[in-house]
This record gives sequence, C-alpha cells and structure tokens, in this order.
Amino acid sequence: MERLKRSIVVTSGKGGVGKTTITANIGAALANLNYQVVLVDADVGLRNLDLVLGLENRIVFDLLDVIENRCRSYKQALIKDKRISNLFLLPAPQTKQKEDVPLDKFKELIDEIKQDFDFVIIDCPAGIEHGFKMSANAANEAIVVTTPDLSSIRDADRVIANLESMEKNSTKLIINRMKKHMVKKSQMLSIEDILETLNIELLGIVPDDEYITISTNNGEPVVLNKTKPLYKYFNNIAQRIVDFSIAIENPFNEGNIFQKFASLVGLRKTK
Amino acid sequence: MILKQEKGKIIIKIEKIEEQEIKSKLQELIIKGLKEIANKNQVILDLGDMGLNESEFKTLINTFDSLSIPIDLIRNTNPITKMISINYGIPIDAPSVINTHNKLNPRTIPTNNKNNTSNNNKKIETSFLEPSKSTLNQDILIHRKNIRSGSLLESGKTILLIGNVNPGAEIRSSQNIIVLGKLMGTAHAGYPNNNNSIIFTLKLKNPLIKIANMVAEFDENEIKKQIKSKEISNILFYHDNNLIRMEIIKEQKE
Ligand SMILES: Nc1ncnc2c1ncn2[C@@H]1O[C@H](COP(=O)(O)OP(=O)(O)O)[C@@H](O)[C@H]1O
Ligand SMILES: [Mg+2]
Repeated sequence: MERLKRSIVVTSGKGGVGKTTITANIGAALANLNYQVVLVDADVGLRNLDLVLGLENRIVFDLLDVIENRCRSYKQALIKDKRISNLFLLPAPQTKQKEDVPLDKFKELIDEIKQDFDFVIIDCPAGIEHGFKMSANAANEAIVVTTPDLSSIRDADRVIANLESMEKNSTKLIINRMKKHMVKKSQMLSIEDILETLNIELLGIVPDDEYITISTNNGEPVVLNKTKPLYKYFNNIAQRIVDFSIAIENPFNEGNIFQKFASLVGLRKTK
Repeated sequence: MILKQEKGKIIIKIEKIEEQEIKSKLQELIIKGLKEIANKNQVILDLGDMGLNESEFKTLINTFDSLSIPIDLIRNTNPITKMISINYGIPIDAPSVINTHNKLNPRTIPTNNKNNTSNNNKKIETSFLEPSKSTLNQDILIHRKNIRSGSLLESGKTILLIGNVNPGAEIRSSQNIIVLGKLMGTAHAGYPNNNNSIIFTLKLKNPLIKIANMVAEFDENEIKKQIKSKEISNILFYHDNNLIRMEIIKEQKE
C-alpha cells in the first residue's frame, strides 16, 4: 500500500504549552485510525516524549545513534508501542547537546523514515534556536501550538514568522488548554484575538483537563481511553490532519456567544 | 470668509479656495486692523471639511504669509488635508481632537541624541519658514503582509502597511507610517529625527508609538472611556510642540 509520507513538526516557541502531550496524543489517534506513525523526539537533552508514551524503559538506541551509524538502520532504533499497533517512537539522545545533531543529517533521516510511513511527527524543542531549525527544516508541514495567553501567542507568532521564511506550506494552529470558565462574555474574545493576531488556520482546540497530568504520569496517551473527555478532541484533530474539511470539534458549543464568532472561524458542531 | 474672535484666538473660516477673493478680502480686513489682532492672538485657519491637495494648501498658506498673517493652527476634519498640514509644519486644531496633552508624557529616547530639545525647536522653526517638501509625493513602500513578532519592517520611505503589526513586531520609517490594519507592536515614524512625520492606523491595541526621538505614553482604557467605545479606530499621531498628539478621526456625518 502506498504511504502518505507526510512529515509534520509540532512547535510553539514557548515551552510547556503542550507540544509533547499533543504530539503523543495525535500520534496515537492517527495510529488508531490505522495510519503508520513514527513520533520523533527532537528535544535532545530534554527528552520526554518517551515518558508521555510510557516507553522510557525500552530505549536502546536513539536518533544520534542512527545518524552516527551505531545501528544498522533507523528501524533498529524505533520502539514499537505494544498497546497501539502502528505507533513507533524514535527517541532523542538524553546525554547530548542539541547542536550535536547536524541539520542536514537530521533531514536526511526524516526523509528516509517518511518513505515507509504515513506520518512522521516531530516533537520540537522550545525556542527558535538549533533544535527548532533542525525540526522545522526536516518537516514539510507544521503545527503550531499555543495556549490562550499573551506570551505564548507572541512566541507562536515569532515561530510562524520563522516558518514562513522557511516557506513551509499549510502551517496550522492548535489552541491548547482552553478553559471553560474563560468562555464567558468578557473573555470570549480570546480565541478571536488569537486568530486575529496569528492569522493562520485553526486545526483544533484542546480544552484544559487535569486528566492529562494523570495520563502523562501513567505513560498512557489519553487517546487509549475512549471514555475520557479529551479523546474526541485529539481524534478530531487527527481526522482533520487527514482531511481538513472535517468540521472542528467545538468544546464550547453551549455558549451562544461562541456560536456568534464560530461562523467567523469556521467552527461547526460535529455530528 | 468668516471672521470669528474667541478668547485669545482669531478664527478665519474659509469656504472656498479662491486665491484672488481671499487676498482682496484679507487686504480689506488688514485696513480694519487685522494685523494688530493677529499679532496678539492665535490665528486659526478653519477649513471645515475641505480636502485640499498639496499645492492648493501651499498657495493658501503663502497667501496669508505674503500679507504677514502667519497661521498658527489649521482646523480641518479632512484627514488628507491634515496630513499635508502636519507635513508642512502647521499643527492641527480640530474640534474632534482628543487632546492628550496630559496623558502623553513625551520623553526622549536615550539613544542617538545629545541636545535634543533645542534641536527640536529649531527644526520646527526652519520647517515653518522653509517648509520641507511633503513626503506624501515621495516614494511609498507598500507592504501587504502581517508583521509578526520578532520582525522589523524598516524603510527610508513612507510605509503603507496593509496588514497588522503584531505584538513584539516593529515597523520603522524615516518618513510616515500608515497602517491599514491593527497596530499592536511598535511603530516608529520619522526615524531617527524627523519631527514632521505622522503615524496613522485604523485600529490599535497596546502599541508603542514613537515619532522622531519621542515616545508616546497613553492610557488606552482611559481613551476608550472618553469616547465611549470598546475600540479605538482611525487614529492619527503627530508631533506638535514637543508632544506627541493623538487624534481620533471621526467619520463624517453625511
Ligand atoms: N490540555 C491540557 N490540560 C491540562 N494540562 C495540560 C494540557 N496540555 C498539556 N498539559 C500539561 O502541561 C505540561 C506541559 O506539557 P508538555 O506537553 O510537556 O509541553 P511542551 O512539550 O510544550 O513543553 C504538562 O504537565 C502537561 O501535562
Ligand atoms: Mg516537550
């Protein structure tokens, strides 16, 4: 079967906004939809995608071992998730510096992996330095993650400017950690404001949910448990990555104020 | 031509630009002692909502100058005429002005100047006697894109930006800046020291406004309260007598 061969970087500028959480969960959701997925941890020295996926005890080789030919092929370094078939992790080296990974070698590696998979999703480190350049340079598409606060939005904007200058096509936005109680009259402008400032297409909204912390500590992507409230949002994002015409899952359907601007940004209630 | 006198002011209202007619009417008034009154009062030229082009404006001002009646202020609601007037070095006095005299505390930007205050005054004088050519006719850089955080758009020309200046972004011109969008970052016009420059923007939110070597400080919420609106629109910033003034250009009622 012909693979989709898409490479996507998940980035944000600011740290702690949910890149790793989102990479793990949309990766798991895409695998659930029967796509072959590799998640690449590009946060050299500060890796934690393995933790979120609960795979930390199984790391033998990392991506630098592949680049520096310490293993036969990248396949040897991939860790297969036992709970979700089709989902693989390529871990980052923990004892190295970000600068130890050459830009061009990393891109070559991603391009090679891409040939055998539907999605290669790169969890990008915070900042706009080497680690970001390496990740963004290697991917064809980008997802920018922001939380609804000014500093995160400003950093996202900066990252988008960088992505634009790298001529990435179809950069999309995920707004993470939206709080229901913010979706009130006075604070409702915030999503509108985010979209007005960043001016890119909205891929999805993920509500703030404390269950994320529990699932992270247990090393289980939320997507594993279909009864959990966040399942449908990650699943919706995964579906929209495959087909952008699918309606966005709107966490705040009840509010009529939200409805008012929903038409503005193309939000519709999903069936 | 209608002549009105208010406390400390003499207001000359003109309804039609007819050079000869204005001239003869002025000469008539001079015989009646206009010069003496003009010397003691602030002379305001009220142009209503007339939209003048640059040469019409110059001719008009020259008419007054040639008869030694210097105009101190222009009163006009047409934004283009206003820009020309400011560029020419004559401040604006419009009834719709939100005079931010108290709210704007101009302070000098620490860099690139030594004895600025005296310099500024000189500049105003020379620009008044020898009006600098309006920048409106010079090259304009038209830029159609949002300026994103961390980016700087800079030009020696007047910049016409069709897009937003995002928080953390900067737009800088040696001439004027016109933003057809929302100004949320920094705008620096007249960089580094051209006091005649203006900044105009359709919308703003927490911007940093700089003209030449001055920085404007103002309380957006206070202004919103004053104009009883959630949003401030059509805003003109210009330098006037060591202050940056902010003016909200209201829509004309038809
Ligand atoms: N939607 C959410 N609701 C609640 N907590 C979240 C959410 N998304 C992320 N978090 C928490 O925020 C913290 C930072 O997330 P992480 O994915 O590590 O961010 P990054 O990779 O961008 O640094 C983690 O503790 C995570 O559990
Ligand atoms: Mg992370």
